[in-house]
Amino acid sequence: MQNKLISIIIGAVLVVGTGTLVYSSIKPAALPAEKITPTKTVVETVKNTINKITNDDEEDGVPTPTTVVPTTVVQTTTKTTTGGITLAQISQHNSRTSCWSAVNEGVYDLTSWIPNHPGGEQNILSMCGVDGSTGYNGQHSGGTKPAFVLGGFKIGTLAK
Amino acid sequence: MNINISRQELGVHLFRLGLAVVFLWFGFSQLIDSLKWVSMVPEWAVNLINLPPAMIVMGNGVFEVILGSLLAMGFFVRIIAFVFALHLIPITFDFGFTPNGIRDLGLIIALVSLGLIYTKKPEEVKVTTQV
Repeated sequence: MQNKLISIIIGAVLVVGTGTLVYSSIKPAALPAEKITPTKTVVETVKNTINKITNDDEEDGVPTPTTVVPTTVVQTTTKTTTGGITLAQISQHNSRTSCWSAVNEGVYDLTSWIPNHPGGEQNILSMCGVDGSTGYNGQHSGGTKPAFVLGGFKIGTLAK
Repeated sequence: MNINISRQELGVHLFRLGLAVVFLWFGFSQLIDSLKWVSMVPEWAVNLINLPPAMIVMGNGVFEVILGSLLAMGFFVRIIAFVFALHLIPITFDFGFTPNGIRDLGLIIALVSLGLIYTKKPEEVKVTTQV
């Protein structure tokens, strides 16, 4: 009985220890970059404010000393949840840190797949920010597994 | 605390724990970073189960962690050893004659061996030699 208890305790320690070891040894996957696109209203507001300041200065005739204060640009986000994603939007995500690609009318965030692609990173990197249908179909057309894998990264459909 | 343990008994326990660690490591690894293992899922498995490879990896991870934990704690050792051996057979065939395949073949033999020699009362294991 005592031996059994010791065996269970050793086993439990081993399970927890192995889990901790694996968790600490695996580098956490890079979080996909937040899909953000500055809204037109924010851009317009900033432009209008700059124009207004400039015009006011010109109207007064006397340039008013202005202090340039570094401002924090707060980006509001418009996450694409409905409707299609345009190729222009996709082209903004053309890097290793944020990699979107269009494949056969679907849009996919492939950022986390870059280091895991069995065919090498370069094949995925070449698809970032563009329509990668040709590359994908040329390599994986008809394959069940690639289709399943790709499906896991879908974020929307391509706007027509 | 008085623990009487024979050399043979100690060897069997270490054998069991060593094999358990292997499965626990792979199981936890598949659960924590399943995307890394997706490429290792064979095409036939995806077609057979008809599930996304990431889910197959997760399922395999859960399976290996649960059975590995039981093996580590000494529950159903013989059954689990044989189940793990059976589990590794298709994986080994899939790898073929590669370093991974040979490693898994060794694991299969070790698991079958553990299943054969493990008893709750190690004293029962007696090797008699006649000269």
